[in-house]
Order: sequence, then structure tokens, then C-alpha cells
Amino acid sequence: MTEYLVRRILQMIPLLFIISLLSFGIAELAPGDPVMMYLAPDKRSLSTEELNQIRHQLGLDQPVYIRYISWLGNVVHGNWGYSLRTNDTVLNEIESRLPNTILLAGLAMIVSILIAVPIGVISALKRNTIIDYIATLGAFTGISIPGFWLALGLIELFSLQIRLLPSVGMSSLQAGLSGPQMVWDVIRHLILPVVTLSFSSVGYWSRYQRATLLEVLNQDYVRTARAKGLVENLVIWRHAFRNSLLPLVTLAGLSLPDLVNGAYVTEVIFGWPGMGRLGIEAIISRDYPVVMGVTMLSALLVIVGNLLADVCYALVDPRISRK
Amino acid sequence: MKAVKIIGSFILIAFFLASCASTQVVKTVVVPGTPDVITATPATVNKSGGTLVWAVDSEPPGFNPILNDYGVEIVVYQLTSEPLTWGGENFPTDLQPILATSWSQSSDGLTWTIHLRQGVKWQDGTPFTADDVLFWAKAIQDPNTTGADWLRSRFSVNNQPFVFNKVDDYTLTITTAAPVPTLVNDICAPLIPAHYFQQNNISDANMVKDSFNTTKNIGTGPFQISSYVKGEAVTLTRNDNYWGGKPLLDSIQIRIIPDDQARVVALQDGEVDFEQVDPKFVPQLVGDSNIQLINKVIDMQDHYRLNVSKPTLKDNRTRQALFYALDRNAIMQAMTQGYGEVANSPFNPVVTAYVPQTNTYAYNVQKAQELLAEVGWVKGPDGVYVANTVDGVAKGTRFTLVLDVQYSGDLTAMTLAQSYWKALGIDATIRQIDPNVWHDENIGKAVKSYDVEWTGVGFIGDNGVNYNWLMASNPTDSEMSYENPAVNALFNQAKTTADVTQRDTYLKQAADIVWNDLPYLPIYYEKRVFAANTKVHFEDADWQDNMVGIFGKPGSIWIEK
Repeated sequence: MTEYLVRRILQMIPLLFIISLLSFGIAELAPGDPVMMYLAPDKRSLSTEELNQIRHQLGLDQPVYIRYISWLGNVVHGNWGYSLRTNDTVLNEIESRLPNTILLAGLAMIVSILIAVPIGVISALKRNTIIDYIATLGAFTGISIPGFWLALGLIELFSLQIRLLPSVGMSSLQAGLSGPQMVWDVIRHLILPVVTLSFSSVGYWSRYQRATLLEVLNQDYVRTARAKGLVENLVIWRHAFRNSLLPLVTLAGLSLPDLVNGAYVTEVIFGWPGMGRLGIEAIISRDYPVVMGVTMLSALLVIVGNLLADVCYALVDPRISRK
Repeated sequence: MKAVKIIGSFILIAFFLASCASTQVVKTVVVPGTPDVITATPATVNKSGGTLVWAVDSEPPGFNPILNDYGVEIVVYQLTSEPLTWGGENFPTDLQPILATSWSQSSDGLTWTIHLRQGVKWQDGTPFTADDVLFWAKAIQDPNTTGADWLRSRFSVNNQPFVFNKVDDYTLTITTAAPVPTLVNDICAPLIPAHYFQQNNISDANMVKDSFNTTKNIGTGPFQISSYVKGEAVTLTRNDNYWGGKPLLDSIQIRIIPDDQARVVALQDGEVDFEQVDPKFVPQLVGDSNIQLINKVIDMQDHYRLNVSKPTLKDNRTRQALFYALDRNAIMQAMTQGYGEVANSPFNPVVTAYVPQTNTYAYNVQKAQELLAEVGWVKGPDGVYVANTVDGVAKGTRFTLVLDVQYSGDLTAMTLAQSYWKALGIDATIRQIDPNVWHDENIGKAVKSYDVEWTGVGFIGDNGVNYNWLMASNPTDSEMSYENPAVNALFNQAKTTADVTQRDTYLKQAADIVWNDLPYLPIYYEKRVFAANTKVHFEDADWQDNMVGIFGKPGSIWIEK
């Protein structure tokens, strides 16, 4: 197992290198001049000389391979460069958003799993009954409703009509809030975006759970368990349910990057200061250093997520590690 | 299970009710041209204290006022920082003393003497003196100061930088290589404190990356930045030592909410007190008794730009025909819900040289057809014009125009133009294009790819000379590839004329020529709509028509507790 882990971690290095090369190349090929994005629209009529001066100051006059090598060298030393848009360090930009996104996306993921798994199980056990139909209808509704529509609907209902929950931001930024009051303030702000984000994934996850449990219920060992006269509850919970969770582990591992990628639409509507907004705004303004930072971070998480899923797999299913 | 059903039906019913409710509100009729303040509450006694939550749509790119001049950061630095005078870009158009109390020009016009306000302190307690002005000017003039490029040319004449000299702590002289009659307006940019940069050893080249720019600035204004949470809000607190008197509000919170609809809802549910709103949301707000709407004419003109280097658009009679074929009033109504005025000059009304043009190019399809016939276009069998004897266009060429849409907001304007020009007999098509690609293909290019774009001009003050890049340029730098030597000569004369009346005479002549040439088709002047909670009072706040700063006296805004 240790040898396996070390090998997998070592494989990550060339993989990340190739990803960085590709992302840098793609960003370079994309049309658009960062200098033009850097200037206000009415300042774009500067002379060529002035534009070259700015290009030089931003280091954009160097050939692409020199820029890549110097970027790579800096990154290895922990320097991710400066945002072309805000001039703050890329690490500061990411650091100020990452915890917010992890909080929002992580909570949404936990909530989705906690709701989706029981729904999936009930649906599978009561297959083709009215309960199953309702759960199916609910799941497809959840998957089909566009996030922005749901978000605005929730705001209209809970912020405007009932006036129960705040509609924007992460906190009310009131001076003097501390301890439990502050936590409660953040929780109130979290409810609507978490519901928005969870809505579609509950549908998705519950369908998945239903399908895997149904598959397991048809397995020989379940039939054997029933045949030997085991109580139905034990058959389901000890034999079927636990085995049906296996594929969900993979799904959860693959969803890890969502924790850093953020959810752009939800973040924009709820004014949530997260990674989704940072990434998209950086792309629009051709803020290459930030784009590279966000891309590398999510690439890392995809790889780590895969690795974690594999490791968990081995842990839950002893057959895999034996191989 | 029953519970699930009940909750489900509750949510459905609630959504239904909610959607009905908003439909009813939308039906409320708005009358454009309503008074400035639609609702106002009587004043209560205690005006001091409280926090104003002001929503904006994007993140400020920085706080150093000499490095940033784009949009939302101006909201912040107009509260924190001050220039020597008002009367230039981003500040109110009338010349008013701020950190300078008086100024005079020598008889040869080459030396200005500026007297500074005494007793002013930076927000960290250090006194403001002539050394700060010298440092600020040097930083702007230094080509190593990344980001100050937009100001640099205003601190020189004939490529010779102005020379700033200190006479005493509160007096300085500015010597110029040639007379610059508009110098005091030109150098209107907020000051920065010399001591901060000197004590922390921050070079001009590193200014842009310093925390003074990225986190918190120090100014002399009525409010100071107390915290900045990226992506969420900038909080400003009252500057008790402000030379203009203690501000009434305790603090102002600039909240970043990128989504237009969410920003409006946040105002309605009381989380936000004040914001600028897109006129399309006015119907939603007009029936809300907690909201006051304020509309202001601002220095902004929206127009179509034409690439005059295209053979089909080369003849100015063709461009006049395109102008005649547009019902500008209808376009204005559709774009602004009535919050606009049909444009009648290539200048904006705030410009001192502005006079309404006598030829109004009123909507007249027949006139447009006559002009196209004159140029040599004839109607083809499918109703689309075909070149017959058009100079530079091969006989039999169909009249086609590609209307470039760079931003989603341009789509309505382009769809309207498309329908009017199609009705005239031009095969107009819309092309959605990424702004980056558009800039690559067109800005600073000798040969540009586009036919028509939708954009605007404004917030460059009352001096018509500031329109030189739009009207008096050359085929490469001009976004329309437009150059008329007569216009260029008039602008050059205007630029070097000290007497405002004489200067405006040249500019008026230039405007007449441009109005006849029509490299761009001015459609309307914008009005801006602001919405605020009725508990906020702006009576003494001195509203302005400039970009986003809005208030002359933000310290006088107060809020009912």
C-alpha cells in the first residue's frame, strides 16, 4: 500500500508539469491582449511607445518560453506572481477566496449526500411505488431546474417576501459581532446558496444511489442472505447498503475539485466571494497569473481527488488492496 | 412522506405567489422625466451616526488614485482622497478649490502659482504640504510608475514635463514649456502622501504592488478605508479630522454584488441602502414605498461607430442615410425606458462648446433612400440595395453590414439598428464576438475588420478638446478610421487657445463638420437612475454628473436610525 501511494504521488509531478505546460500554452493562444484589458477603455488610444512601455513593465514583451520558464521557476519557489488586474499576489487572491468556496461547496456536498443517500435507498427499496415515482420526479426536477432561476426564486421568496434570510454576501459585516453571533450570521448567509447548490446534486446523487442499491439487491450474496433466513433489515443494511456505497466513494472523490473551482453562477447571484468568480473574472480580463494559479490548483485537486478515491476504495473493499 | 408532500406544495404555491406578486409590480407605469427625487421623508432630528451600505457591481482593481481610473474604485477614492481642485476628469466640471485654495497664471502664461490649504492632515495624522504635491507630480511623470500612464500626458506640454517647485510649505509654482490654459483642470487627480512612500522606501515602480494600492490607501478625504474583504466589501469609516467638518455617517460599506437582479433585491429587502440601477429595474422599484428613485442627467452619450474605411461606408451621404433610417427616440426608449435624451450633437451637453445642431436627422426613410440613390445604390429584386455607380464598390455588390455585439448589453441596440437598416434595404447581420478578439482585430489597426459597433463616450469633462481622440485622429488610431484634416486643424487650434470663447468657436466649427461627416451616429444622452432606501437623505450631498463618484459632499449624507 505504501509503495502504491509513493508511486502515485511521484506520478503526479510529471502530470502537473504537463498540465501547466498545456494551460500556459492555451492561455497564450487565446486571443486578446492583456495590456488592452489592463487599460480603461478610454485609455486604449495610448501611443505604441506607451503601450510597449506598459508591456515591458508587465514582463509581457518576453518570448512565451522565457515567460513560462520564469513562471515555473517562481512557482517552484512558492512565488505565483501578481494579478494583472489587482496587482496583489496570486496567493493572496486565492487565499482570500479559497476558504469561502470550501465552506460553501463542502457544506453543499455534505448536505447533498445526507439527503440524497436516504432518498436513493428508499426509492430503491420501494421501487415502482408512488414513493419511488415522487422521488424520481423530485430528482429530475432538481437536475433540470437551472441554478440561477432557483437562486432568484429562493431570494424572492425568503429574502423579499418572507424576509427571513439575507440574499447577498457571506456575512452582514456588522461591527461588534463576535463568537456565536458571528457564526449564526454566516450560517444565515449560507442557507440559500447551499440549498441552491445542493438542489441539483441531491437529484443526481439520489439517482445514483438508487441505481447502485438496486444492482446490489440483485446480487447472489443478497439472495443467499435472504435464503438463509436473515431478517430483511439486516440483509439491506449490512449486506446491500454497505456495498452500494462503493461507487459513491468514487463519485465523491471526483467531486473534490468542485471544492476549489467554486460555482460561478451561485457565487455571482449571492455575491459570495469565492473561487468561481475569481477564476472567471481572471479569464475575462486575461489575468494570466491568476488563471494559471486557479488552473493549477484545480488540476492538483482533480489528481488528489482521484488518488483519495482510489485509496478509499482500497480501504472499503479489501479485494482491491489485495490485488 | 406526507410532510414531503406538504412542503413540496408549499414551495410550489409560494413560488406561484411570488411570481404573481412581481408581475403586478411590473405593470406600474413609469413616467420618465419625473422629479429628481420621487419620494422623500421628512427629516428627523439626529443626523449623526449610522452606516450606509452602497452596492456596486464589481471589485475595485486598486485604491491608489493615480494608478486606477476605471470604474468602481472611483467610488472609493472620491470618498478617501482629494485633488488640488475639482474640475477635471472624474470630478465635477466646475473649477472649485479643494486642497488648493487659489491659483494664478503669470503674464507670459508659463508659470502657475498655487496656494495650498493649510491645516489639512492625512488620515494618519501627518500634515499635508507642498512636498506631497511635488512627490505626487514626480510619481505621475515617472515612466516607471506602472498604471499612471493615463495621467502622464496631462502633466506635460509638447512632450516637456511640467516643472513643480516648492516656494514654501503651502505655496508652489508650476512652470511649463508653453502656455497651458487648462493646467488646473488637467492636473485634477487625487493626491497621495509623500511620507508614506518615502518612509517605507517604495519606489515608483513598486507603487502598484504596494498595500497602499492593493489593500488600503491614505488620503485627506472625509472617509478612510478601515477594512477590505476581497470579493465582498470595502468598509470606510468617518475621518473625524476632516478639514471640511466631521461627516455625518459613521461608516460607508461598499458592497460588491455582481448580479444586477440580486443587487436590486438586496435594496428591496433592506440589506443595501443605495445603488445605481439599470433603468429596466425601475418598474420593479417604483411601487416600493421603502425606495426612493433619483434620476440624473450624466455626461454620457451612446452611439453607433462606423468603420469609414470600408468601401460601402466611405461616402458620408451613406452614413447620413443610415442615420436618417434610425428612429432614435424609439431606440432611446427601448434602451433606457425613457431615461435618456435624443442626442443632437457629436459633443455631450456638458461640453462648453456644445450647441444643438440645426439639422436633427429626424427619422426619415425616404430621405435615406434619396441619399443612397445619390451615392449610386439601386434596389435589387429582393429589396436589398445593390451597388450601381458607387465609388470604390464593384457594380452588383449587395449592401451588407455586419453589426458586432461584444457585450450582451449591446444586443438590443444592434437588433434595433438591424431592423431599421433592413427596412431601408440593407442586408444587416449581427455577429456576436468576444471583446478580446474584437480588440485584437480593430484597436490600433490600420485595417479594421468591423462594420458597426455600439459604444459611447463620456465622463471627460466640459473641455471639448478632450474629444480629440474621437473626432480628430488618424486612420490607424481612430476607432472609426476617421480623419478629416479640417477637423484636426481646428482641434489643434483649439488646444493652444487660452480664451475659452475663442477655443469653443473652433470646437463648434469642428462639431459642425463631424455632424456632417458622421463617423459615429450619436443616438442618445444617458440619464442615470439611482435607488436608495427612503431613510437615506441626500439633500445636502451635492449630486454630480460625473462618472461614479456622484457626491460633491458625501459627508452630508445621513441616514435615519
